[in-house]
Amino acid sequence: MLAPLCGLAQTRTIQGQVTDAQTGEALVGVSVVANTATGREQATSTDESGAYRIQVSEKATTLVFGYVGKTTLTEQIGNRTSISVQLADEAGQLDEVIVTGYSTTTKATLTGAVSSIGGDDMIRTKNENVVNMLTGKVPGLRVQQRSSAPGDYSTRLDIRGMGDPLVVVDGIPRDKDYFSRMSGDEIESVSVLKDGTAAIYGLRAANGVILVTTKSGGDMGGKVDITFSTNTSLQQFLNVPQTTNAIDYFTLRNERNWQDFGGNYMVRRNALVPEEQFQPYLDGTLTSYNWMDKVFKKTTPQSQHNLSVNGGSDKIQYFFNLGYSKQSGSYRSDDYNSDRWNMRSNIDAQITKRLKARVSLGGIMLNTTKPNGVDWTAYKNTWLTRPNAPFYANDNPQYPNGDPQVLNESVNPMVQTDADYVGYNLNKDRRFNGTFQLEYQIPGVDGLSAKGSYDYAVSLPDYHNYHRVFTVYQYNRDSDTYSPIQKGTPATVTRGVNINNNTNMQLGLFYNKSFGLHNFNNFLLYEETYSNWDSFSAFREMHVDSEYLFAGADANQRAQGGGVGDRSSKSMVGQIDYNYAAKYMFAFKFRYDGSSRFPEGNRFGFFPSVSGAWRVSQENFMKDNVDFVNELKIRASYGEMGDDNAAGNYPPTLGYNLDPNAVGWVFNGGLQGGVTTQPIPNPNLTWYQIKSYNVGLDVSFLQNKLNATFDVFQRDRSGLLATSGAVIPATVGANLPQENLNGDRNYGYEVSLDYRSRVNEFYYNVGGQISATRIKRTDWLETPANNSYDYWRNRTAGRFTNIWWGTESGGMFTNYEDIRNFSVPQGQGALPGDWYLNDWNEDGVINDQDNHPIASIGLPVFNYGISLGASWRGIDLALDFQGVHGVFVKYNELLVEALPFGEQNTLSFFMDRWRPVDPNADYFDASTEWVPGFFPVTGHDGRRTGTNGIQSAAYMRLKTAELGYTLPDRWVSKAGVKNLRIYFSGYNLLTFTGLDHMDPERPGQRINNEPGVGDVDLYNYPNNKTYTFGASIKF
Amino acid sequence: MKKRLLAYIALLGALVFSQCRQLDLEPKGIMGEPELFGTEYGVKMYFTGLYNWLPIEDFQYYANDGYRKNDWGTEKNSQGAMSGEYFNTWISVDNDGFGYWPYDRIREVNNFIQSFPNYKDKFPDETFNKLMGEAHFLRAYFYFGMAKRYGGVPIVTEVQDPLASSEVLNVSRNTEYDTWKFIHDDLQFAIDNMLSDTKETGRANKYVAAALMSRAMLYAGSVAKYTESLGFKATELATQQGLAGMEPSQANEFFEYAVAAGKVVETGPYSLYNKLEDKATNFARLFLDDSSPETIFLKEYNRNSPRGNALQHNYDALMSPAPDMSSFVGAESFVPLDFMELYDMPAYTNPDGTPVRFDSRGDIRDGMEPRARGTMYLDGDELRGKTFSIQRGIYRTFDGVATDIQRGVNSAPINSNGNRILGGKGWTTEINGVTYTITGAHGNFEDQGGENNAFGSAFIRKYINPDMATADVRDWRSDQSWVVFRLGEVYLNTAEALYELGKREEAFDYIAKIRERAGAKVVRPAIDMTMTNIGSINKANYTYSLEKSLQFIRDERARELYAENHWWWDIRRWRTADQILNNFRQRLLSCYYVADEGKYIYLDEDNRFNRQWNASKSCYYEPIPWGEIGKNNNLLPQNPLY
Repeated sequence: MLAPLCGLAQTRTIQGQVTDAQTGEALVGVSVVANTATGREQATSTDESGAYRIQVSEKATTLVFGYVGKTTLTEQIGNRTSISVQLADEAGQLDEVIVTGYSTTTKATLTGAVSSIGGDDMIRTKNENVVNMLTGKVPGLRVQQRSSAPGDYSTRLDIRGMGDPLVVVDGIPRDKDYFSRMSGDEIESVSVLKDGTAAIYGLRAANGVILVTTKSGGDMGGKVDITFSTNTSLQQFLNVPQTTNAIDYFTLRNERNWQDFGGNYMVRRNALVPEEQFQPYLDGTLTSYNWMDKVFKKTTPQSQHNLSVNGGSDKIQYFFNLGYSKQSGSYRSDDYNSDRWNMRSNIDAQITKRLKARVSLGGIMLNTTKPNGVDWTAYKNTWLTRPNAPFYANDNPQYPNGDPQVLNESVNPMVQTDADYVGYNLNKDRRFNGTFQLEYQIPGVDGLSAKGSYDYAVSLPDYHNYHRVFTVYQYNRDSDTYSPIQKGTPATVTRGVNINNNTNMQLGLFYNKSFGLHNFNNFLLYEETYSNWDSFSAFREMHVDSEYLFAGADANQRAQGGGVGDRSSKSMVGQIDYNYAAKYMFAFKFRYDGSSRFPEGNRFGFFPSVSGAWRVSQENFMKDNVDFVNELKIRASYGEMGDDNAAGNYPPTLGYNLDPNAVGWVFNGGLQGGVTTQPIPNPNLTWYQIKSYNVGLDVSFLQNKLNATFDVFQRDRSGLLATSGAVIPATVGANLPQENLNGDRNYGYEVSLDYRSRVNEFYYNVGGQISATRIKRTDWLETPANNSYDYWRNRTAGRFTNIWWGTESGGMFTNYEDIRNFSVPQGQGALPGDWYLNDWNEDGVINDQDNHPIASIGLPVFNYGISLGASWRGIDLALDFQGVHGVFVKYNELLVEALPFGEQNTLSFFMDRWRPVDPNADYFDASTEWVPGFFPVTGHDGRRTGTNGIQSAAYMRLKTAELGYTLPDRWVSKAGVKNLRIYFSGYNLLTFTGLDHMDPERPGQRINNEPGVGDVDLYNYPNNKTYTFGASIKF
Repeated sequence: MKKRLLAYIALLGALVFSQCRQLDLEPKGIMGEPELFGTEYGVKMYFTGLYNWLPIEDFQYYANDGYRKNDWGTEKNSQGAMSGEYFNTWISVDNDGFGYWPYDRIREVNNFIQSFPNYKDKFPDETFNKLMGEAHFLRAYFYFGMAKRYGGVPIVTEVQDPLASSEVLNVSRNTEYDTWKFIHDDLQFAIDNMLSDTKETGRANKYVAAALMSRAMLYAGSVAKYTESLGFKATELATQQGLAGMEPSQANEFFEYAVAAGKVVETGPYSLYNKLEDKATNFARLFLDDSSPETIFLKEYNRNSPRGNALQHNYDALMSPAPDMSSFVGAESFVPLDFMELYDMPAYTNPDGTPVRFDSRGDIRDGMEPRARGTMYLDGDELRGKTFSIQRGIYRTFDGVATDIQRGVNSAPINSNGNRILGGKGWTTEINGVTYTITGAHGNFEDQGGENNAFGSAFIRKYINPDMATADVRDWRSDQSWVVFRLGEVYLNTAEALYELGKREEAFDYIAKIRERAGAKVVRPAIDMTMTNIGSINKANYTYSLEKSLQFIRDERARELYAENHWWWDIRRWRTADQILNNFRQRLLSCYYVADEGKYIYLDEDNRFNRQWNASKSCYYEPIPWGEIGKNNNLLPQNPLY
């Protein structure tokens, strides 16, 4: 396509052949691109015999040979007309540097189950939360976004179903909250340590470790790259059910009134809402008020901007990043917002030949503001607001409606979501950290270096809750007046602050050396940490119109202390990592860890791990005989770890906690705080222990185009904390100590596949990964069962943790005859359309004893992701699908029954219900004809209990779709721009699920206190889908 | 090279051990025993948690879920609602209890009683004895909470080592008699050792201990006297072994303790509340005046207390109608006619059976006992600047007798053909060109459920704080005190115990004091020793007979102590609960406007939801927590009927 432009220039022909450096065979389809000093000029590819011919102008200086799986080769043309080359295998993935904790290794010599993802693959997904960018991309990493509320960051994250992992950023332990609030543009890579090799983090490695590495500058010969990227998104909200209009609402209310057998016994009741009330809506004199539209927007904006500067020379290298993102919420008042600033600076300096220094600074400032006191009630109240309730009293916009005749408790959701009325909550989340690091190449011993680092991190969140007094109105038709209804007196202000300080110091010796084919990567390091925290808040009533604490009243003011405490740890960490010719690998890693949380004598522990790998493909018998396998590695690892998270902050001691927030009494008008008794100390208390096993296989075929990884794992926990209260009679009355009593096991597998190839200039890749996990209780201290039924029903030892007990739903009665003849007697009020439960134990009654396992509770058993990518010339396309399987939820309240709160409104999908053909027919007359529907007769239960009440929340969704175009260098270089890419991207664009009315990622967390489980958290803020347009430009 | 490497490792090692960061951190916020037990203030802090957890059935008590629930709906699940004392639509009689088993608190008291003597030299004898006495009072209160539920429970007075052998830990139940005796002995110790200083409200003293003894011993006496009537002994092992039940011959001992305890209280600085002229307002104020001379023991609340302490409540928000008297959900509980008519009441039906015609709805208050009006709000009463307006509906015409309404069913001819008009919130109807609002502003709304609706004609007034502004009447904004013990109750306890002991005249001396203050028409009714087995509420058919004057004393308790969470415990200890709550379908007094006459009538109707209350005989003893029996078989046999 560029040929006509070159037509006038004098041309010459270059030809040659491309062969494989290893095998000498001709390579077919190698791309050959001729470049001039300013950009690309002409391109072709090799034929079946590996030969090519290309016409180039005089200006052409280089030829670039590219082939998937091979190292790209650039040849200077000079005066040559014949250029034949050999392409070597691209070490590619094998050469990829993997961060493994305190050190790095390459993909080829890796011995543990570690997955890694580059920052570029993450930021393809456009989201405010980097954890959401990981969804479906890393095998074994389970991510569940529960809300897209501004400033929320509540996304759940775990590795192999193991609970909250440790997050380490640039070698310093932080937490998920820090990670999720980082900017995607400052992240170089993320590694996930899933198996026993995480033992190098000892006491905190129990649930695996996520290692985040931020970007650094490089030796660019003094040059600098300045990259500015920006994008703007439109958010839409997923699965927000709508409410009924006035006619439907009245209809359902009347139907519910008539289905009650007791109330209509003998004589049928009059219509609850008589014809006269329908009439104005039917003839158009009155129209329904759509509160959902009045309170919530359909779309709201979001944007992210990022500036990074990256450069350096051999002496000094730097990376600076400044990011800003802003997200608006769904409230029409525009009072729910969040914005975030990210700042990061990494500077490396070669001070002398042997001494290197590094200074890293990071800062996160997140401000979230929302109307006071709404939160989860915003959606609930709006769904419940009746369609015949006006927004404003007498529709006069000066008077927000508060008429209790139509608004429950005078709650007007339009007012409740508006900070001008109710006041606001402002949360400021601020985190800063600085790390200073020195590295010294010790003279005299080649490969030996000493490294020391010190990190100080502070987190200073504070909040300002301003609760305002506001007025709503009731219109009095008789007198044409408006009565004010004052709400929420007195006004109050609460200010609070938390102070958290953390330090981390590391001193170590590193020995990195090769003796011929023997390669060593060893270190020994000392680490110590200290954290302390304190918090307090102040509260005052406001009798003047002010939002500041100082203006408040002295009477009833209150100061409250929150948690206070500190914690320290000391550790020795080391590893011996050896490989022979990158063929046989062996690693021994350990940590000797001590924690201030445990009693003296039980506070130190030794956590070793061993791992090894054999690259079978490096053996001659493989190389010589099996040529379609490029890489075959067998890995195995075993590690022992601990976890101190469940323990109290201090070792158990005799004594009493000052606990004014838990117990108090008023003596003679004065409030007195009390004490609570500490549990009886258990001098043997220690962390729970983990034994982690993993066997894996890495294999590549077809010139490394197809890569696959398989892992099988098992993790046994023992010494989980429990109190023996389950077996010791409560008459002892002791606050029993925690003991290391329980144990469980989780196990599963992971598979990932990746295929990358090209057709001429069309590059594409297809990848997928799936993982499965289950958890079983191995030892579990429980009260002895009273009988075998009790044992079967209520004990959990030796079973999977995620059994959902319930009754089994049978079918729907379709006529009165079915009801009369049903084997188990039904109540007098039974109607066609009712669901019946199966008499599972066949004892003639339906009761609690019919409960049996009917589904699984908790996080999904299977998680998978599929990534598709393609590029052609400057155009690139990426699709990331993600899904889960084996997960169930149960609806309640508004989602499961029509009119759950008496006279308040209901959701429109309940219109699909059983009802008489003749609306005025007697429900209990056997000759009444029925219109079937999905739901039973309004007011009848049936989709709440049993297998009917639970639904599969399995889904697959298109998390990310991105289409980008990189403008040709020729065009942009004139403007001094090195690279300019524009893109269009979508988040959660498509969802395939059987779950109706609710986003499948939103299941809440209630049943049996199992995390992330069970009842749908139906009222919280919904998830979103976004459409993003963005650009990045590099100077 | 090796040497150097070792040297460097040694250097690193030296650095490590020179570090000053310690793993022995001083635990922050934890106090030791010497600091607490060595000073009077420390002991008070220690007792604070025990006071906070006392089994006081107050605003924060969930009838079927426990003490200190800290849940906003406590008022609708209150004991009054559970036992049919209130009409509401929320909960029904709970026969199973909630597994109250406060041995953790008892251990704390035992720990104090065991260790405090080590600090004796730090206190004057008087102070030491007082604090020891207070500990015994607290322990007795916890045991009382259990004895009234389970009968005999294991009496643990030692601080047990949880690692002790199972023979030590698997304690057996003591008999019910021993359990009540133990409560008596602890309280006697408290009375003997505590001081008569009553300055510190909210804290036990000698008289508080005596007041608890008065209540507890009356309960014990009734249990001894009437349990036999249940007939458990024939079949129930727990009763045969004396674990659940006592002998009638043991009753008088406890009645005498109750009388004696009452006499101790009378030596204190207490008198019936009589500060105000208007007897109705005076009775209502008694519960709101923290300096009332009638109050013996007060649980005070504080709205700014941390929520975890459960020291603020929602009583006003959930007992007053919204939005003009409450800014929250609104009223949840109402007074059934069955209880209204225990008091002196005006006739609302003429001798010929026709309903009395009233000129205004509020006329129902005329001739009503002042105490009743201090206990409930009726139409025309004022609260927070608004006037109650309670009407169920309209009759176009009412030309029959009251019974024509057939208890209010739709099918009664007088209620059909649009003659009786009921309606929803704010609905109007037109009759002969005049538009009427069908219901009162505060109910009774056909289109609403149990929340914020008037059922019957009376809202509860007792404990309502009229001094709060309506905008302030929200969840967790109420902090008026709960009167745990007051002289009025002690008088009633004494009266009943005396009567049971055959001292009838002396008993009625106390009844007269109560009725005098109540403003009742007949202050001292003549003693009527006729035997009856029919109770006043629900015409209950008791399994034993009693003198009519004793029934009068029992009714006097229901009148005086309405809405104070006594009734359920009273009908339990009298062993009449299963007969009183035997298809107890509460009746409601409903007010109608008769359109063609322009007058109001009041009618006796069944409640709209056909709710009825039923207690079974198993309600007299709650089951010993099953999980505890699983751990300790010595707790068997289980209580009767489980």
